[in-house]
Amino acid sequence: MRTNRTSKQIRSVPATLWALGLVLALALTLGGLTGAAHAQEEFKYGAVMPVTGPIPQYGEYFIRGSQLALEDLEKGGWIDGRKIRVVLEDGKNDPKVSLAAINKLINIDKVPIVETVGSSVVLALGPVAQENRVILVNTAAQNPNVRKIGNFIFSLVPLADGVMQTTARQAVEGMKAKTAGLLFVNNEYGRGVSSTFQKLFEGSGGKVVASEIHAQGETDFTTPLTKLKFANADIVFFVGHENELGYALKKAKQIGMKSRWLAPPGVFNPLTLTLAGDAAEGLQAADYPFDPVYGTERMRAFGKRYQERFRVLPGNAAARTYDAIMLYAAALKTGGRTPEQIRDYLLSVKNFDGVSGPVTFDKEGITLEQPVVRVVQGGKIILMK
Amino acid sequence: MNYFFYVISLVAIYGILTVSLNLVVGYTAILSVAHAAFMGIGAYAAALLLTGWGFNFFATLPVAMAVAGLVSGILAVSTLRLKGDYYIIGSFGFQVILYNVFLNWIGLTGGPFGIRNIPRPQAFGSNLRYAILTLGFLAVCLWVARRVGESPYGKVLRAIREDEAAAASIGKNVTRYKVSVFVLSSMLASVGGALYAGLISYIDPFTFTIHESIFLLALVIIGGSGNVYGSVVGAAVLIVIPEALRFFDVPTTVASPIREILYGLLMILFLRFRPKGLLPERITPGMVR
Amino acid sequence: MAHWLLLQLLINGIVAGSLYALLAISFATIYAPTKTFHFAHASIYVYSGYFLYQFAMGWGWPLPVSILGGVVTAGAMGVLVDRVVYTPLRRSGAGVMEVLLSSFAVFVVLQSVLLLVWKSDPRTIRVPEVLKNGIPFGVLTVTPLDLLTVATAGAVLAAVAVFMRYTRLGKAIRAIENDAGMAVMVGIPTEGVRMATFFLGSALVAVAAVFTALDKGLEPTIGVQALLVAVVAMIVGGVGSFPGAALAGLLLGVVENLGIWKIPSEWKSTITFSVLALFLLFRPSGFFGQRVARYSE
Repeated sequence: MRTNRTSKQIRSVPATLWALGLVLALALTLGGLTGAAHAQEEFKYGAVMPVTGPIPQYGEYFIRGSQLALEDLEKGGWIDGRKIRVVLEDGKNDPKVSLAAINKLINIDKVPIVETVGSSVVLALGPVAQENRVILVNTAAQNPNVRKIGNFIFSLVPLADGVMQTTARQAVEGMKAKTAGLLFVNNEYGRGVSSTFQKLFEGSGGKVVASEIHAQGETDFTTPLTKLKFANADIVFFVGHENELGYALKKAKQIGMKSRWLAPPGVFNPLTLTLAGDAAEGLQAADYPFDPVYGTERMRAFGKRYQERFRVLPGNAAARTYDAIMLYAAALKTGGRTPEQIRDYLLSVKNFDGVSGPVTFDKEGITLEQPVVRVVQGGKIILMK
Repeated sequence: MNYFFYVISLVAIYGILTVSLNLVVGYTAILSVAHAAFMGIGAYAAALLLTGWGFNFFATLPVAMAVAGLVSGILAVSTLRLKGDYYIIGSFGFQVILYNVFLNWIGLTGGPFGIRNIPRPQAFGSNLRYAILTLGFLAVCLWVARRVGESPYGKVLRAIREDEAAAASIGKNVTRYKVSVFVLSSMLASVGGALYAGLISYIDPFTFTIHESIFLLALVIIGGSGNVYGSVVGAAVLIVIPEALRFFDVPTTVASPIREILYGLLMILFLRFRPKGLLPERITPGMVR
Repeated sequence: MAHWLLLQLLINGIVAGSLYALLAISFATIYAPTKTFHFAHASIYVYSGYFLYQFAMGWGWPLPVSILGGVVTAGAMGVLVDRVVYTPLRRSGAGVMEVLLSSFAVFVVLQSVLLLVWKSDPRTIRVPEVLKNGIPFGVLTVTPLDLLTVATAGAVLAAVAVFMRYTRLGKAIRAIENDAGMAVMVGIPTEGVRMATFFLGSALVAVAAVFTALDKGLEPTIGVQALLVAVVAMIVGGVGSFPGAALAGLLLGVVENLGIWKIPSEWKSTITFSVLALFLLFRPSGFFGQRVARYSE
């Protein structure tokens, strides 16, 4: 490869030693730190979040939501003076990276509880948490299979199997749709939610006439939307993230699509509306009750504080992160220390006063929250009856 | 300590991948950007046979190697017979095709969902034991690579690297040598992939991208192109540093790009100022020409 | 309805293909004379989009000025990459393979720097709405931006063709491409020409990036796919043939878009590579390239 390669024998002992020494030193540091990480006075709250990667907005929701929660706990004197520390790892919404992160959190940081988002990630981390008997809190994944993982898995967000009942009813009764085209993100979330919707929609007499997939973080929707346009369905049911929906709506308007749009919960988000502009007009979804502008007093107070602090309105996940940390603190205050005790506490709470709304879990650890239907009208998000 | 053994296994697995890539890049000067794809073939073959067919882990290895060997053979025959940079472009395209197959052939690979709960061989369940297993495979891989390097066959490979036309002019069938070493390298990579699947217990297409292929190339260069021990050192350095970073309070948004910048810069600096890598190739007299 | 869809897909294909033609030419401009497999071209592509974003949205420059700024900055950046990384490496005696490896490294570094500077959030550039709202022709639609894209691409390609054929610099580039040694002997300042090719190639890729950014917005990861298209088009057209590369780019756009008429659209990028695989197997010289030597002959 190199033209001036010498053929005489080269022995570069210093370099060899240097390299091996470096590796050894690092390995030892690593091992040493492993041992030292135990004896700490504070409680730990682990999190595997997509701080970078295709959906970094969720990392941001977490960082901001947890910051506010910790401030409030500090004001309240922590848990008998013992702090809670958040240990955050970047999972990039990539199950593999997230698995490495949760293994580190469980084995080295010894956290009793881990919060995460993203269906692919929750489904990958769930079995690990279950096996190690560590609580996994889901604050944004909707795939219905999350329910089946085990009794250490809690979901502060309702899963698609429940919410899609309302969504499909809205499609058939509210929007009077006979046909639907699906457009969903190519991952566990997109496939799980869209197939749940399809089953329920076709069960109530509707027909899915086209089905298109897009990649995570896609910006160019020309091709799938062209195919959907010519399928000429009454509605497009979109499953994906806020940014993707923003681009898709915009493109749909530009190519003159007439279908109305329906989406899963969580998409009425400043990001979607900014990207889509007036192309979001008429978008409907069975949504979470959390509303930082028009919601309950507690929601509004949280929204106001968040906005003053970070200059944007909080997304759903930010509010749920806040609640998850508060629930953990409440469990600690009752004297719960082991993951089992915390689990039992979580199962016992009734209408916990969260900023995302009252929280009650069912037997399987999934929130009982019920969706509401919203629509974009005149650039505003309006609650439908 | 559990985590420590996990990192050791990771180093051993990347050692296998890097050593095998070194056979083509370092010994023969064939630049392949499809190594992650062959790692993927191994990982998927093992994962599918383990989860779907109840194969024993060790029984999956011959299958993984056979598939990787076959596929790499097709790629090698079609591109390595051409002079010029065609094999780079061919491997580049091939990497992307295979990634798309992993991603979109949902019936077989599970697509973006990946494959979960991949079991480890029963006797090697704990992280400590799995580390021993992977180190064992690394040792075998090193032994093979050394044997290849020191054999007359290996000398021809180096001759091809130094001067292709000269090697051809003394009657060596250059294409045949190139194809065979490429196939061997890919088969070893598939073993690395299978071990990887067992270690992580979860695989998905996003692991086996062109970025991973470039990362593996960086390991070869930094470790020392043509020196198989260098490859292990390269893998160790670049796997351990980022893992060690986890222990310092570096914000993750900054840490992961910095990790990438680090290995990119290292690669540029090594190419420029220390092209022979951390452990330069040892060339015994009479080996070349 | 079905044949209308096909017609719409054809239109989409021509729009995409005209950008692909630009990509192919931009890569070939650098590759053909310098023989540098410039993988970091993918980064230049992404960066020029983000430069445009920074100028137009960050600093509020008028759109045409921002576009020009983005193109020129990208050109300068291409030259910089060559001067800082490739050329010192060449001078230190490294071969083609080391330069290629370093271009991967540059790609990785630039990609991560981009993440640190602009974060990974998607970005859109505000464009006058009239440019983006489709003009309906029956069930078919074309946006003014589409028309502008095709027109610009055509004009730029024509300008490049004229430049290569009639200007001194263009002739010098082609001379180096045909025989670098001879070019030195007849007194062509090869280093100067090399810088010019990097500038020109990078500026051309920026034009493609700008139109993509205006239409579809920006994400940090869009570079690799663009580079793949450029390389495949160059191979299919035949290395060394500029018209061939442009034509092949256009064709690729059309084939990709028509291809997904029946197969699911997620296989789109696989279509590109199946085309590549077929050419490598049966016609490695592409449509218009010189014959490719084989070992077995």
